[in-house]
Amino acid sequence: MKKVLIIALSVFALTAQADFLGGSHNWNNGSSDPFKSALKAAETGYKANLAVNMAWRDTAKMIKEAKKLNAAGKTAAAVALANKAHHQTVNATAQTALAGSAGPRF
Amino acid sequence: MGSIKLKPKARKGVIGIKALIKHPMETGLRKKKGKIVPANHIVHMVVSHNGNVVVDADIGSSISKNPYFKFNVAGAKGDTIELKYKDNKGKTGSATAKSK
Amino acid sequence: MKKLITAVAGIGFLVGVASADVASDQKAFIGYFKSIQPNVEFADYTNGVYAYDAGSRDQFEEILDGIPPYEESVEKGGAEYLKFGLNKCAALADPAAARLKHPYFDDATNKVVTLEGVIKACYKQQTGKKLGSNKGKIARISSWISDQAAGEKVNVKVEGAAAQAAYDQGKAFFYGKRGQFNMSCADCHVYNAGKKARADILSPALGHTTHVPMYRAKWAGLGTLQRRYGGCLKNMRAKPIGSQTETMNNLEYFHQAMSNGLEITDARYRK
Repeated sequence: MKKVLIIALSVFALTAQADFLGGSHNWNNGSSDPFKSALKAAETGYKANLAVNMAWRDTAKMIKEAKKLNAAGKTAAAVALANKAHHQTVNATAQTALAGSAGPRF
Repeated sequence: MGSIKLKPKARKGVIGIKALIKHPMETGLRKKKGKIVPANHIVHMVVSHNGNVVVDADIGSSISKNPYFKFNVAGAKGDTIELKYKDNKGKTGSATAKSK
Repeated sequence: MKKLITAVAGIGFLVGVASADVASDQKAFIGYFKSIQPNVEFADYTNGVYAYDAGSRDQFEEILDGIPPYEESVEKGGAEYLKFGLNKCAALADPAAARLKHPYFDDATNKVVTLEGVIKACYKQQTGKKLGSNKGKIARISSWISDQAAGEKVNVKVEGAAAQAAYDQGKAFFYGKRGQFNMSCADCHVYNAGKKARADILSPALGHTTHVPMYRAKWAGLGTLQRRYGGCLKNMRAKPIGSQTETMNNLEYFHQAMSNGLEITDARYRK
């Protein structure tokens, strides 16, 4: 009886802990996870862009708007916008790679 | 409302009148910090040459801030040019200058 | 250890940028503009875009001949220069010299020093208050100071490795594509100078800094060079970079150096 209880409790503990891992584990109902990962990608990218002065004009606004949409329950739209913001940061990072060696063509 | 710079210059029988009027020319449609900035613009302007009205203009809100105008009128050096205006708040301004 | 890494990274960065001295860079720069507009003389570039387009030049001269809209503001700047005790700072005591000296590279602080930077520092020292970098007081005061040097030639010096590094960073910024539109300063102001962007004629970068701070009809007021940097960055859908920061100062350093030899002018009117 005790053994069963211990096993049951540990399985429960592990499952509960998995809830807090988010991201790769989808053991909960997955309602905010896709948004969270899209948002994190966008925010991380944006921060990196800011650090090298290559951020785009509208990225921050998109991130803010995506958060609002998500809070209003419009998850699909929120994820789409967060992805759009992330895409901007990817492009800005690509520009950064070329920026250091930019020079005249003549 | 604001000062007027008036510079008439005569050349070959024509006086070129250049005028710069300092006026905010608020349309009444602009918002600042969520509140509408009330309309404050010139509505009427009259330019006279030696006492005779040569320009009688209804000015609207589409004219931009600190408007610059230029008029040509037949005349000679020493002639008197006067510019008067009235804005939507009832304030007036005027300036007189002798043509150079 | 960190310093060593920074130094090595810095050298690596330098190797990436084609490091050339100001004189040869400017020669190539001027040569390029000559090739696209063979009939415009070097000295004409003092008036920038007005050297290219007769129609707008006529309007420009009309306005200068009549009532330049910035006259009063610049006069006010002169009064403010005295009112706030800016003449008491060593760097600004001789306003004409001040305009000619800046921007320059200060080896002691390892930074580019701009005229607006010095005005801000002096203002803080004299009044204890902060001064903005883009418009209003600073634009008026800087315009008045610059007026005192009208007729003198731009003469930005880039001497020493550290100064060269700052200059090279500014140069890379100028030629680097950025923003959602993926355009560089050069894309408009070098490779397409003289062409139209909607209703505006793109001004050549040669001569850009002879008339700063400038009065822009769009602003209905005066603004510093770095005010315009912010606006241009926004236009490219890039996030503006704060005025008087290292990146913007290095850009100004390069930008002003490209106008070496051109006369500083008090005709500040632009569309």
